[in-house]
Amino acid sequence: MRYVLKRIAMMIPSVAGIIIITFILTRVLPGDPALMITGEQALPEFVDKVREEYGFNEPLFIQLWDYIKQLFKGDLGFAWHTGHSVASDFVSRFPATLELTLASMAIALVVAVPLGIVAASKQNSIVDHISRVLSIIGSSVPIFWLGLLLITLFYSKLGWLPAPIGRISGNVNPPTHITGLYVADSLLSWDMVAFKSSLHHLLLPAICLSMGTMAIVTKMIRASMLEVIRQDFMRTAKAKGLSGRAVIYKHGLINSLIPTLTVIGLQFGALLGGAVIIETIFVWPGVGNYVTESILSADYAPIQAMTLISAILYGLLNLIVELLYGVLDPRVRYE
Amino acid sequence: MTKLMEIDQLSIEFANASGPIQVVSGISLELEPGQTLGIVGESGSGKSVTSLSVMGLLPRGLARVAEGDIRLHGQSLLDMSESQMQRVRGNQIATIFQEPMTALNPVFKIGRQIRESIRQHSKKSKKEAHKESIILLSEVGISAPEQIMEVYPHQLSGGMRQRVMIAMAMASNPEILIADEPTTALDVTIQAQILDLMRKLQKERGTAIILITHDLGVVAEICDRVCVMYAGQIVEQGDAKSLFKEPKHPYTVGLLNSMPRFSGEMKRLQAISGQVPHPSEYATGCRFASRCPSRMDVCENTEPALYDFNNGHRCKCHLYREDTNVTHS
Repeated sequence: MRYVLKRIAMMIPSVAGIIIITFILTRVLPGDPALMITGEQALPEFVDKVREEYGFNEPLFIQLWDYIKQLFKGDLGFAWHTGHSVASDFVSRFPATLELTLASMAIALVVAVPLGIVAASKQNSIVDHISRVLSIIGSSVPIFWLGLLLITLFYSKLGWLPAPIGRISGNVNPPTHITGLYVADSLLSWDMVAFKSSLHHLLLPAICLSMGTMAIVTKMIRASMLEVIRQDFMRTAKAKGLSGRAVIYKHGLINSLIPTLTVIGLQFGALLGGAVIIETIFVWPGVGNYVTESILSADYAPIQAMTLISAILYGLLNLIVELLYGVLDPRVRYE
Repeated sequence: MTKLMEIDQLSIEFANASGPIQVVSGISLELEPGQTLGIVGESGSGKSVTSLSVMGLLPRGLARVAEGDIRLHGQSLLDMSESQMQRVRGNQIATIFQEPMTALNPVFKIGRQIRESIRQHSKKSKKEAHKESIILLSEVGISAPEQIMEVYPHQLSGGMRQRVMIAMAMASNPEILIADEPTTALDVTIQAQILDLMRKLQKERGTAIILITHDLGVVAEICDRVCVMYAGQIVEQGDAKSLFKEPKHPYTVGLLNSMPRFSGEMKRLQAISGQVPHPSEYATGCRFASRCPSRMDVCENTEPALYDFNNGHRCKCHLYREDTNVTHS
């Protein structure tokens, strides 16, 4: 527990750094927010008034100071381009990103873990070659290209999946809000129509998003399993009379998951911050999409807030990964 | 006496970019029930590879048995399927390895690892296996077995881990225990304890032990019979007593001379000059010839036969070609 607190305390300087850097970077971005708010046809006096009101003409460090004071009050600011507070925007959009992240993580792990293990235990077999090709494809294919390709194939040509817009078809009512994840909610409230529609909408973006993670995790599992297979304790397990499979899955798996955990955690953190490209392609109403909109409308508050939130999520996930190490590996002790 | 295990003209090859390399060439030995057989040799002499081949654990794709046979109760282990071998491993033949530090799985508690050995070859419940594990641990001289069951390997010292390894190996009461340098990684005082323990367990259970070591002192202490390996061949084998009293092969003589002694006059230790040749550079004649103090012309190109001194003491050296009868070449 003390370790957790200590680690959280250690996050403070990096979070402070991120606050300052994103603040400065958003100001450096081209685009005049006052002009964006008022519209280009607005009278110059009106634009000046808005500028005055929002404090855009104050010196930068005063603006920064005001922003920090505001953060300490727990206020993430106001997103004028949506007309809501950033906090409420985030709450309404985060479930979409979470759903996409969880789904793509699940797809990635379901494929990558067994593939990596089989590839390592049968090195240079066909499965091993497939795993290597897949990791190369997964890590090198541009995600926007893959997204468009999948849309063309499954929506335009085959017509198997609905139009890639949003989380659920327009003519289907979203399920009752329980977790905010449409697929889970519709299952929980046994709304099969919504379940089918939301699952169909989730499928392509989740697959696209999973490719990168899948590639890295496959590679990591394969490499660490190859390492583990050479360990003496694997030979001991074999000498006990265990079958090759039992040796791999009972004695090898946990040991090879330990180094892979880091990668999974980092990937998870990266995805939670919003998959900007995928969310844009599939018009997925999540955090990534929100960030894109905010940048395009030079809306400072949501940009800063989302960067801050994803940095904190990243840090927390890293902490969780470290704690999980302790669960998997008894040699790890925290003080 | 009946033969428990026979190794017959066994050769083992390692795959290599430029073709297979023979690392063990035509070794033959026998093991009787309850006997302790020492296999002695320098690093690279092929002794560990031999033990792995008995367990069927040669690294697949890298090493294979090229010739010969290994028989347990007259039945060939090499003809067995993988699932048949799994019933032999850990059940009839168990192994303890050199490195107790890495031979236990770091993420599982000791208890789980011992229970696994027990339950692999019997239909005991988890509870029964647990009880039996505790008995095993106390038999290998661990004083608080219940506590040790609940700790992880990294919380134990090397000596303790090797005791755990022995407990695991003895779990299903094997007929043969292969101990591959079981004491090399341990402190000298712990070494003696582990050897005592192995001797005690052998007396109680009648297990035959194949002890692989480079330490002649250890061999002298507990072995009934000794094989001396050099460069993938057995150059001399015989009863421990007669072999230590009258070593025949110049290599064995050299090994004995390179050992410090506490009795008798003080002499400078004599090392054997030179190094064990690499398996790809084994000579066509006697493989020890280049380092041998009693080398003759014949040693250069003719491989010596194995000469028998009539009491099971055999030696592969040209020095004895007139004295004795040739057994086999």
